[in-house]
Amino acid sequence: MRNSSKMPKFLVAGLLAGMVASCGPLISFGGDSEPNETYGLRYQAQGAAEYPVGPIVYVDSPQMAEGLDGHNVTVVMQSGRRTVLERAAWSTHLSDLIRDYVAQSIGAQSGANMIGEGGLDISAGCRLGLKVWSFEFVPGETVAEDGVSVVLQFSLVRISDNQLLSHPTFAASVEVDSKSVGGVMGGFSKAMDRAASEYGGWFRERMGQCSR
Amino acid sequence: METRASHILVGGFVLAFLAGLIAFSIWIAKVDLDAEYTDYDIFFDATVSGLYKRSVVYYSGIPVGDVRDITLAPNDPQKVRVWIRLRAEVPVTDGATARLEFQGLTGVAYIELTGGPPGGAPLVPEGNEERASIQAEASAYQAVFEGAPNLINQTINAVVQVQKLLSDEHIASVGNMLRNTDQLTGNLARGTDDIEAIVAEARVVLQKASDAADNVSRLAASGNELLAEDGVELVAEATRAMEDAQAVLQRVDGLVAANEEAVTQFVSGSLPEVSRMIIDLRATARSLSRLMSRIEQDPAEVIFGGDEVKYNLKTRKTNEGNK
Repeated sequence: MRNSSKMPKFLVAGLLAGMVASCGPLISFGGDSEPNETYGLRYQAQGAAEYPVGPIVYVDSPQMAEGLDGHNVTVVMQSGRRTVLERAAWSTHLSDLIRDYVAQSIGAQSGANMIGEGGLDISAGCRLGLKVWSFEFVPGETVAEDGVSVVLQFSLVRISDNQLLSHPTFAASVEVDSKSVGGVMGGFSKAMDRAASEYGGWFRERMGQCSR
Repeated sequence: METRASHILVGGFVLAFLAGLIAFSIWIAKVDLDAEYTDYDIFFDATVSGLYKRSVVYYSGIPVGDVRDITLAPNDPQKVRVWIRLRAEVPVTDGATARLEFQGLTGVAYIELTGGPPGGAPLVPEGNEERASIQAEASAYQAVFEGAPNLINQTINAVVQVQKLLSDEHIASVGNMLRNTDQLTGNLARGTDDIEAIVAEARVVLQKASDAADNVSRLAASGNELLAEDGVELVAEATRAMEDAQAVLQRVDGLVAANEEAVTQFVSGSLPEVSRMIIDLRATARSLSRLMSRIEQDPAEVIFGGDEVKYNLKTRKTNEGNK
């Protein structure tokens, strides 16, 4: 009698173990590969003015081309095939990183009040739209030919009359030290710094048209 | 020894066989030996195209005879004489008429007779005529064919009148009026332009529309009577519509004047923020749409991630081996 009463408990325990085991293909408990190294983008040249007095400009969330948005670092092979860089990731969505970088870099170079996420209720003089056409690592035939490519297109719109003031495209390509992930990610920062010096000057010349 | 042949029996059998054969032929040919017929003439004033010898003659829809011959009338070549043969019992009395009809769309013609009043005198040949004459009347088809040219002429005249009405000058005037009206309504719908300027512009548009209405009125006066009546009505309707639009714009003008500060603040301050909010909402909707598409295509890839091909910097290859 005692043995017969214990058997159902073993059966129930076995069934439960089997059910948990069957969830293995569905629930990921982490792989055996090395963890990703995460990187961000930060404008290093000079800090933003403590009390900016320039025109108020609302920076739109960038439109990302060809699936560039996300945490992955895009790689474009020589054959044109697109893939992602192993063991590397952006710290947040790439579109958010670029938006913050652009707002910070233009604010620092021009003294304008750059309003990004959360500034919807602020009455602005202009709206700065951004299209990211390229933000990718491009391996060459040899290590010396490896590089990153950044192509940004801006749209400066005066809000009071919806007039498109300017619509330029800025491109920057730099060679990178591709022996490590950090070298590649540092290449992106260099390319953005190079592009920022160009679009910063472009914005300074036109920000007067955004004054209310 | 000669046999005694029954020549009378054989001859009788042959004669009986021949008589039966003749009777059978008459029966097969449906020859009505007892039938009696009466012939008539019908003189048609118009063409009898589609009518032939042996064409059927109907009396109130009942086939009662056929056409024997079709010739021109001996004394009047503009008329056509149709000789018909009817059963003698058909009551063709004074007042009976004949009409040429057609079967459906095939063009096959036949003659339809309509009897005279009950108790009327039978038709008899007059003078030295061979046969009695039945009066012909025009059919509906003949009336259509005869009236068609006049109808076409009238239609052409109507088209000419419409072409005069729709001259390039008048179309340009109406087009200008519609463009100005479209611009006015577009500005009102957008609501972002200076409403005071819109009202001023509307007054100019109304003046132009009034001028165009005067032109239409003069055009209507120069047309024929029918067009003139329509033109007057059109001008009256246009004038009423313009008066209604004038009243609406005056109300808008008063409304703006009474709330000028609020309207100005809304147009200059709140609208841009609403525009930016709409842009953000549009981006959010697009992201949600993409997410739903990915979930529909491969839910597991969305939840647990896909098997991505990755590029290794050390090997300078992807994990699939591609360089």
